[in-house]
Amino acid sequence: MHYLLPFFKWTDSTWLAETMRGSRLYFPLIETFHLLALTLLFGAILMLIFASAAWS
Amino acid sequence: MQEVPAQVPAIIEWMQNSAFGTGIRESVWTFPVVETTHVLSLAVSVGLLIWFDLRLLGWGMKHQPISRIHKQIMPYVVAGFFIEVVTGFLLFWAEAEKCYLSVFFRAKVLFLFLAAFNAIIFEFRTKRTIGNWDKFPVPPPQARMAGWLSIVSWSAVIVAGRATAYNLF
Repeated sequence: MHYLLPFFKWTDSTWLAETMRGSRLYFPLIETFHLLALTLLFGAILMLIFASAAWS
Repeated sequence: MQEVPAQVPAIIEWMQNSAFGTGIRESVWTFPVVETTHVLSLAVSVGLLIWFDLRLLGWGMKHQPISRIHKQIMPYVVAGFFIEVVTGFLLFWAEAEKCYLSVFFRAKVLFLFLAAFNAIIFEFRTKRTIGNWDKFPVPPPQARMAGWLSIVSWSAVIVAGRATAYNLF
């Protein structure tokens, strides 16, 4: 896995990463959207499973 | 033993400093495992509910009878909600003082009650006439209102929950 380390170091030093780390608001805000989207995706997957199992 | 501000009730102080609360808070594994279970159960129950709400709004699965979707998803929604409440209570116990003092946590509880109240009204009142509009692509205004209220209140619960965790203000 060490061959990925330079890439992670690069992302860590980018302007975007530094801006996010420097703000008190950006990280929680983006994580909230991340969680909302995850919830929606999880629900969609379960609905698809139910649809293929029972509704068809 | 942690210093607790004077305005915190004795029960909150007791929870915060109890061996159980301290054990959850200071364990390397317990807190992350409980929080992960909390998020996963939320994703199951709220994830399914939001798709059901979208059907109530007439924005998806228009050709599926609402009663059929309701019957299929409700056991999972209720089970997920139960796990969510139990794990949420454990997380509260571990950080009782922080939660008690957080305005976002109070907002979260408020929206949780709003979501519960909306669900009770839907189950015991709006749903009584489901036979008349079950197969319509777009249900009547009361059902659509229930869908909107559910989406807004559950989204607010998630937003307030994250704001509590990061102690934004």
